Amino acid sequence: MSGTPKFVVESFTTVPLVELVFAMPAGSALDPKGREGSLVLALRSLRRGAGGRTSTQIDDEIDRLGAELSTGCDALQCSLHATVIARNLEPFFALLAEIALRPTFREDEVARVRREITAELIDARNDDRTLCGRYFRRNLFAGHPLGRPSAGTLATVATLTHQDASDAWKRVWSTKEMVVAAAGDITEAQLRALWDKYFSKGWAPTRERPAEIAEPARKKGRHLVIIDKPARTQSQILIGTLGTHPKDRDHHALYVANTVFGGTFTSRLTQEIRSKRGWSYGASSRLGRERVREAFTMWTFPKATDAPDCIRVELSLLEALCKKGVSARELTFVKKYLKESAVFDTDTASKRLSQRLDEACGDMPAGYHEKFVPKTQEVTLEECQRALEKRLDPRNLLLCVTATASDSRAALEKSIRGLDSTTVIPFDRDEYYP
Amino acid sequence: MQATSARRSKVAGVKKSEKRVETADDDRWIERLNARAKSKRARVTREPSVAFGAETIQRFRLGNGLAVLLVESHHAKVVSFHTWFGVGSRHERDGKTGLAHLFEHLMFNETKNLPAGTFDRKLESIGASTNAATWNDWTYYYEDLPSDALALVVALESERMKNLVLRKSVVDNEIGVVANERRYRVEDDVDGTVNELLYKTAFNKHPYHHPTIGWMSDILAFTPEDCKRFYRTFYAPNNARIIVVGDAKAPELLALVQKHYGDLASAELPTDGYDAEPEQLEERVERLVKPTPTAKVAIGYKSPALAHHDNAALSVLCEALFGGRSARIFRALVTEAELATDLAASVSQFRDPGLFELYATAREGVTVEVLLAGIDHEIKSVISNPVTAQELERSIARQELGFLQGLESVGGRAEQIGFYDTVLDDPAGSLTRLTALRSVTLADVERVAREYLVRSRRTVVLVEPAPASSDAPEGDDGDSASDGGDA
Repeated sequence: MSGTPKFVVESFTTVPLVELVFAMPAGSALDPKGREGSLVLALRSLRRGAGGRTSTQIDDEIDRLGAELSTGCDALQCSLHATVIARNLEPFFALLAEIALRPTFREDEVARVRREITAELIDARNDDRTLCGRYFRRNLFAGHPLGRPSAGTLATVATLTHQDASDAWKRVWSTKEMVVAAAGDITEAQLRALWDKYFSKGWAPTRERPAEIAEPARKKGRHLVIIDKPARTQSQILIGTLGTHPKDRDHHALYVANTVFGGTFTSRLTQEIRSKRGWSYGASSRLGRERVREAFTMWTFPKATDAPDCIRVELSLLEALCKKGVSARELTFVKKYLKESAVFDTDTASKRLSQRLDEACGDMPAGYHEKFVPKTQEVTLEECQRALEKRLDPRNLLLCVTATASDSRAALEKSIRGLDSTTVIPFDRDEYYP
Repeated sequence: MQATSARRSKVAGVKKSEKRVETADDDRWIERLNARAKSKRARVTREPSVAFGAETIQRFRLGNGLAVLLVESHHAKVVSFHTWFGVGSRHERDGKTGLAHLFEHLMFNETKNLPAGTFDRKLESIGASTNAATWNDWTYYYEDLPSDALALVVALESERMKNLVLRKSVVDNEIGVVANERRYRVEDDVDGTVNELLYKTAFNKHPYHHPTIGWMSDILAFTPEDCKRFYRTFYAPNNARIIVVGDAKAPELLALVQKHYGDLASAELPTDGYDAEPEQLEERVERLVKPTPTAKVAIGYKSPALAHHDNAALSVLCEALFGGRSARIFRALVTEAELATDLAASVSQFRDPGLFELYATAREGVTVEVLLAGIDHEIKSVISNPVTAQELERSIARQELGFLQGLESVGGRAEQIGFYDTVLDDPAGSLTRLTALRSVTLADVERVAREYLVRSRRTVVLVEPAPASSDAPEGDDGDSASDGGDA
């Protein structure tokens, strides 16, 4: 028996486009230690030869059909994501079946992909924000699967082979509970018929979905990481700690509190950093929502010479939030905002599909999205206060800054009361803490 | 030039809706609105509707010149409300560059009847999101809102168009924000720096020479008086168009627009005078050294304006050469020769002639000379080995895909309508454009390759990496005080 995946469809027939997602509840956390990047290498190698077609023939056919094919991968899941002009749906679906069921993983093609990934990892050093986010994540989740770089590091990618790619694909493709999803000019009956015709004989799920990963450890103290890059006139700054888990009793309360703090344009953080002081073009805070405990972050990017003062104000704002909570007026306002803006979470077929995928793929508990807004409406001031005290302790923070260390280090260190450590990482290194 | 009659053309593949029939009965509501108009400025006139794929763009105009375009779409209880102004950085003069963009920021601040912060606060209270953008030829503002909040948005947008307050403290603060935006997008971003230098070097006379965000020295020197002058000059109803797509109906919308915008007076707009760019007769080359891990090459060939009939053919050529994995030069340099990490190219969609822009990032160790030679070799071979029928088919299919993706949301449709109506006076211009792209022949592509990919009419920017930190003498910062981040 080849088994049957879950099907999720959101029809919208006005625009002749079909979006397709094959989502697997297994991700790069399954990469063996020292082989980080295997799954990304596999996903990107799928289109480099499959069935009787070469890489060139597949690329030509995808473009001829007016289609796009991309892949996604994080620690816990991976996916193939495609869009096609509706009139070409069936030949494109047939091509996808060849790619997913009969990838060749030829040694020379996989090696070529490996060199492309290496080049992209090097090129990413151009982007200060990417660098800051990369080291924030690697440090916050050091030693935990969430801190593992899905694309690998220069060192690990260099050692990967076509066998690593092939093994990685077998691990995720054979996982039960795959979801086949579609949005746009397609019905569920059409999707099931296409699956039966092209995939059903080739998909043989044998592996259980991976066990949930352990809770990441919370690191004590305040730690500064400077990503040292020459000639910076501006500093990218990420400050944060561990955030929320959808199963936390205070999940919705913390989300509401974060929205007050930095989730809208009139929030405290944006008002104080951008509107009143003009320090940073962007100033916001974010509470990641995944099926695991993700990060809470504040993001700003002031002029390099304003960075110490900006950090000082950010820390005092966070301290005040955690100590005094949110006001009744703020709570009422944010609840209304969350209620009224919810319509934009579902106003297109693509967005509706995304929500349903979250739940079908197990990223969020069943009914999570439907219940989300009603639950935020029940949050009280006391619940916000308790959630902030429990989850966001301003004494325990990671601060990542992309800056020119020789110019900025002393002033940055001085701006952080109770700083426990400083780490300086040259921007052109590739540090990782497994 | 593109034929205006093509505005009514249907795009094959986009499903056809019931044809809307406008009868005299349909427009009695307009007569009723005009009966209570307080002045000629507020009178509403219906202009001919335009087919937009499966939908219809209804067009109206107030007596003061304000255009209102509506696409009714009732799939979700949401509306996208856009306000496009026919002003951008092309209207700025030397010493005052960046004013259109700074002004766009200021529009979110205080008005006569709304204290600072109230505009955003009111929109957030109804769950709406808002933003804006400025470029060479235009500026636009948008709100995506629940459809039952349309009245509030019309009131807020008209208020800032009439009663913006431009205090020195507010202007100074926003100058700080914009200066920081410039650091983010240009000073500390190699690609931003390269793009700016490419246009600065390629255009000597035309205002496309200066960046939309402005030169830093100009940004820091703006005064409230500069901003007030700009406001009075360009933010007039006869220089604006409102585009509404979503769950709205014409009588209710026009009643609101008449009520809130009907008292605005039209203004005498300055003539769109600028110095035409002289023909480029020789290649221009600029070199930079930046803290980037790999070399970069940017090339700009002079290209025709958006309305020029060659723009579509050149776009098809561009897509065939650089648009994704099957494109000829992308495949040659990224996949096969492995000289580049990425290649991206596009043809300017400007009112006046712009650039066929090409950006290449080298693989580590590949020099600018080697990468440029590789690009030159491939460009040259396009002349001797023209684009094939298969390449043409793929290029057009990719562009059709991109067009359809832009139709999925109400905001995407409003943006397409606003852009083409502002730049080409053709609200269904995206469909006209798609028709033009589909009509491009192999002979067209071969001709534009010969005509535009000419070395003497190009500008080149070469970026070489500064020495890597690991090569440079290292102080005690290297790994000092590192706790390795162990949790």
